[in-house]
Amino acid sequence: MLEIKNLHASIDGKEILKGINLNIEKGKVYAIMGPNGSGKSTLASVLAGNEIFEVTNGSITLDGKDLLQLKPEERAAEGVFLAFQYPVEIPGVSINNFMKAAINEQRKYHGLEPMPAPEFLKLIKEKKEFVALDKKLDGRSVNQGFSGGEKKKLEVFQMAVLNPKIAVLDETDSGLDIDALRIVAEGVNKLRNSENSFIIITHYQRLLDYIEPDVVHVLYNGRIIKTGDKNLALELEKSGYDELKKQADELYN
Amino acid sequence: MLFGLRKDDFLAFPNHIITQTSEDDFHFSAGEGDGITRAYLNLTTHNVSRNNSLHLANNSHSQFAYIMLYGDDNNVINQNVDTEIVVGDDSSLELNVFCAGTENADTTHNVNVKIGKNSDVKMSFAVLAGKSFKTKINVDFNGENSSLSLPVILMPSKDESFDFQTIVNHNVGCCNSKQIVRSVVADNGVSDFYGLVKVAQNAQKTETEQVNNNILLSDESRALSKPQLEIYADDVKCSHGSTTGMLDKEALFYMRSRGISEKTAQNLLLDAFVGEIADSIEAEDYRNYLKGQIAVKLS
Repeated sequence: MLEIKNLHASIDGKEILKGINLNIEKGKVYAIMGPNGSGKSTLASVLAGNEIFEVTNGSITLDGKDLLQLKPEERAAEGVFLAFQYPVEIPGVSINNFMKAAINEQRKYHGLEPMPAPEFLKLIKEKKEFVALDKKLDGRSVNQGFSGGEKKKLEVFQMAVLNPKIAVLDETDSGLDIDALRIVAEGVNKLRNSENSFIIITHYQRLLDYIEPDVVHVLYNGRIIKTGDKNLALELEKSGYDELKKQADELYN
Repeated sequence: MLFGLRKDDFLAFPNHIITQTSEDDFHFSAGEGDGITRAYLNLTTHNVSRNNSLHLANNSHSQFAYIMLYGDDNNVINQNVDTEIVVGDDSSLELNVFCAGTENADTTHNVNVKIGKNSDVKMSFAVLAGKSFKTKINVDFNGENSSLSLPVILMPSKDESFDFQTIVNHNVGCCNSKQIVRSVVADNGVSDFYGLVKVAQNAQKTETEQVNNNILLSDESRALSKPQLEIYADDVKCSHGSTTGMLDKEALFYMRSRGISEKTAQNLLLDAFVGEIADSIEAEDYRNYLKGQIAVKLS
């Protein structure tokens, strides 16, 4: 479904991704692990189309469509969703208005009419319950005054509302207590089906106790240096990244 | 004409008694214990000098909307308006001023306000279009226990320059003034704010707040901000602040990553930015009218 070939990306002239090759099949969950600074968040941002990064080589295609030609909002309408590591506060814009704008602009992209209000309200209510979003957050502006856990829950809420083909979760587990972690994981597990895929970017293997990955890739210094199944995650938890880093440094330097 | 406003658009003000004329001055007064509710439209299409007045006696409660539309698509026009406002004791006034001109219209609007004791004055200004528009407001607190609220929205875009100057004189104590001036500057537009708050030596227990926030939408946009405080009393609370910047890029990307186009994302942020000022206006019909015009300017 999603094919990443020889992807190179830089920021301010510094190369972060040095030739990433990834094949994401539908119905599967992929974990991307790696030490800090390896390029995990860069990969997530480049997929979503953040213009602060420059793609200098390679391709990203979704169901044959060249994503690199598309703006961030177009990629979203094509089915890409990024759950941010640090969700952004949008003062003065309510959660409902935010979702309404997102849903309707995506529908417009596909030549559809805006969603009728009753249908929209029902959808929003359902998905707020889905992530057990505290009622006190209802009238608030997006992420404004939210705790870390509430911000991550709102990411999962948005994912549930927008129902993407491919959801990238960028260190969604960072800063979460065990209850919030469980809710995030439950959310992802309930949303998983045979038509969509998830890319879980994580430093620790903790989240993977709750969301079982089909494939685990290790990213180090802008390259995927090892691929395995869920057991690879358990191994890394035990022995850390040092051995793999050493092997990779020898190979590439 | 501007934003397609016609005389019929006055149907947008059901709560105000409509008085509309094209080129005349206005002179209104409210008697003791009375009040007036008026919406006044000026449609100016040639050079003019105008003197308006609003005299509100003691114990009066008034609501006034002043819509200033000016300009001629073919000729440069100059408009000079002086508005004198006197508010007595124990009174209240809500004055909402809306200004829009064509691209060859220059306007100066001098507003002089004198406030008695125990009175509350809310004055809002919105300047949305015109080649240049200079507003100068001078307020004198002449009686204790009065308040002034001054929310302002300026939206200069291509080749437009809006100056806004306020001088608030706390001549006596126990009064409260609050100013918030927000501008959204597009293209090579210019917004220029100068705000002086003077607190006299005997004006103890004065409380004043002055904030100027500017958003620049392009590299050519400019905002000038000069807040000034001159305080001679020592038992006072006075604050002022000024911010100027561009739209939050992270917030824009966050919205775009959900499928919201760049333009819509920008407008959601700008709407919230000026909308907060518009929402503080009490007169519902004027508030809805203003929000509609802001939406037109943003599109």
